[in-house]
Amino acid sequence: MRTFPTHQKFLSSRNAFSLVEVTLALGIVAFALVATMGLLPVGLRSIKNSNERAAASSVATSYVEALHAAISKDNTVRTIFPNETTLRSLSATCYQFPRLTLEGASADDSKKILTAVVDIKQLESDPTKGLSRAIVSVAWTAQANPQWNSSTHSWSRADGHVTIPVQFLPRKIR
Amino acid sequence: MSTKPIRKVYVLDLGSVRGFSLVEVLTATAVLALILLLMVQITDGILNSTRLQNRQLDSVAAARRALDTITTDFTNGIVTNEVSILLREASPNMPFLALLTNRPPPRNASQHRFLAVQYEYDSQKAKLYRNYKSVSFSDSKLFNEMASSDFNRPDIPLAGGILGFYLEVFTTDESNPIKVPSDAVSDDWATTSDYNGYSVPSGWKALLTPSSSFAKNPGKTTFSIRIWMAATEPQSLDLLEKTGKLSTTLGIFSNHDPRDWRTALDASSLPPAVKSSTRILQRTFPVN
Repeated sequence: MRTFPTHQKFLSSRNAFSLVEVTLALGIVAFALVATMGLLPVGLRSIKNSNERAAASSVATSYVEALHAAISKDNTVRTIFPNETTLRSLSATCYQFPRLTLEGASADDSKKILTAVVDIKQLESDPTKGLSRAIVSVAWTAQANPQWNSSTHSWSRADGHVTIPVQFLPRKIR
Repeated sequence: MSTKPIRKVYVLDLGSVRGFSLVEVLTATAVLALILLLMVQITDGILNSTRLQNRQLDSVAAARRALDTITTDFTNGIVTNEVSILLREASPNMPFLALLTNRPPPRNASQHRFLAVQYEYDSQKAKLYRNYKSVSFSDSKLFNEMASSDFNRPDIPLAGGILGFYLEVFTTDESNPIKVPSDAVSDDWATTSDYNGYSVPSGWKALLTPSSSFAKNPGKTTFSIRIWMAATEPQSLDLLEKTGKLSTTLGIFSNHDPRDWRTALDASSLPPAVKSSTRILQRTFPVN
């Protein structure tokens, strides 16, 4: 007569996982976890970079707006840059604004900083004679102060930058 | 006679392998639970961060839309010679700015109508309102219409969560821009209290612009306007209201130059969430 194993016998005949199997499984799980965790810094860096790009873009727009609001008075071109309260007389040169906060105001050295340049290529004080041209660029970096190269229009020591070419026409104001 | 090596046969002695004890299983489960808890916390943190970012994006977008509206009003209000801008002499909680925007007349209409707009900053609730009414053209009543108190206030503000609002009017004078609403606007600046013989209502001054048709020849005019806004998202605003720190926060922005807003905010004792979620925006536009 065919007999079935009792419950006790059934349990005792089952195989448990060996140490090797468990170690292997744990190794695979650990590998997957480490790989997943490894993506987190990449994601966080990406978010940080995105924030800095958005801030740099906003600050660059502010400088472009300042150029569009420029006036021509007494044959000089003047404007007020975002971190200034007084009119600045412009010339065809490169203006640097280091150590800016993410909003474009002046910061101290301990803060996360942006550096802006307004590189004026051509400045026409008489609006009837033609346009003025400039390049506005804002760079961000986690290390040393970035340097703008006015001839190649590029940054060194910058993690990233937003660069906008601008044509502007200073308004004649008596 | 050559003998073949006997092939080794490994037989898994299933019966002799012991299963995990209860303690081992419980320990493994506890470790797994800890790992899962950690992962849930990380995921929750990421989701919270994403939600916060989305709320911040919404509040910044709303503030930018408000800046767009103000810029459009200013630009439309100044380009024609018939209209101008009135600035309140000093009163943050009342309408601090009034202007007329040009509006195309209806077909066959004999007279132009204008949209009169007043901007009002509610510093108790951190909201910016754009009140409005339609007025017909009338030289003698224009300023009185702009400065009257019978404007319609919309049900919803132009922007909420506005912790700081600052308006700088840059003149052709070398320095000292007018700052609204903190400064008392006086005749020393590019403003006037009479317009071609029509007096500006008491408590208000009219802004002088290069293309204005003011009778008097102004020595200095306004050439650009800059608006600063500090905006935060609704949850941070709720937090400030519940902890009773909203007035302190508003004080930080009203007592400092906007260029120092970030430094003052960082140095304050406000919750870190509020500091990080507050965004400072600015917009500069020419007037002529």
